[in-house]
Amino acid sequence: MALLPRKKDESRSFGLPGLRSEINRLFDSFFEGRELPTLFGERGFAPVMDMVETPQEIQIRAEIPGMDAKSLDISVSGDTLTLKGEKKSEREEKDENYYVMERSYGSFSRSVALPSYADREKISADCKDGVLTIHVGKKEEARGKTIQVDVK
Amino acid sequence: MEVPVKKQAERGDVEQASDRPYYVPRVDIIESEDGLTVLAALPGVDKDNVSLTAEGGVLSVSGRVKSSLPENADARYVEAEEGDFHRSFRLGRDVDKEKMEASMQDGVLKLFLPKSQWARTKKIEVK
Repeated sequence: MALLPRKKDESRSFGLPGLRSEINRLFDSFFEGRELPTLFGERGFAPVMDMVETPQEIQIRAEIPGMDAKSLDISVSGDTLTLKGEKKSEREEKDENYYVMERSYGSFSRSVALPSYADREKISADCKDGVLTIHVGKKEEARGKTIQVDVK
Repeated sequence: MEVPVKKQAERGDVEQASDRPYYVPRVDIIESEDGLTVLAALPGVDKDNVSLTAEGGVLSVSGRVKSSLPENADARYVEAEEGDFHRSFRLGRDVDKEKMEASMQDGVLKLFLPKSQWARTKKIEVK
């Protein structure tokens, strides 16, 4: 997995110093092109994730604000860990009018490749403030150190 | 699949006190008869680290993310560096600023901005 460069936010100057008007932001999300927001229906999305390693374990974190942790499906197959879930829209049809809908809804599935020294038997997960942390233990011989890989 | 991108605030929008990136939280804004509900995604922010201010016609939402990285951690794959959240909105006369309500759960801030009397639809009867 490569470390991908952060996408720089394309800045559009409207000549307003400092605070941009909220209306400009609204137009931006329509014209940004990367995702066209839809007022109805779902669009695919994927939670932001990262992976860190300590001498004791590997931690995989995913941002899932507002999602019910119990509805998540975390599974391991071979050395692939897969996180699946669904964020249901809280929309109630009747008296509501969505001015802005930037938050993502729908189902997602993301997989990460675990290193060979990951211990599949030692996986646990917890969720706090919308951040899911998956703890993956390391096999006996790998614990207590982070493995450095020499490049020849 | 596109790699998810967390939207970073532009330099001008926020006074940066640190090197950490500032992110613009995604919001849903829903209008109902009584007012506006703003749902802002602030993952990693707990109730005590949210600050809401309404001043000079501007509503500002800030969320501080306490570092949750274990001390001796090596980053292996990072899509978004740890950073705080900030977003501002214009508040017009149609919001009753005295009666705003906010609650925070699972990284989502729910803000209710009731419509002021001025903004409520007043039915005028024809005699």
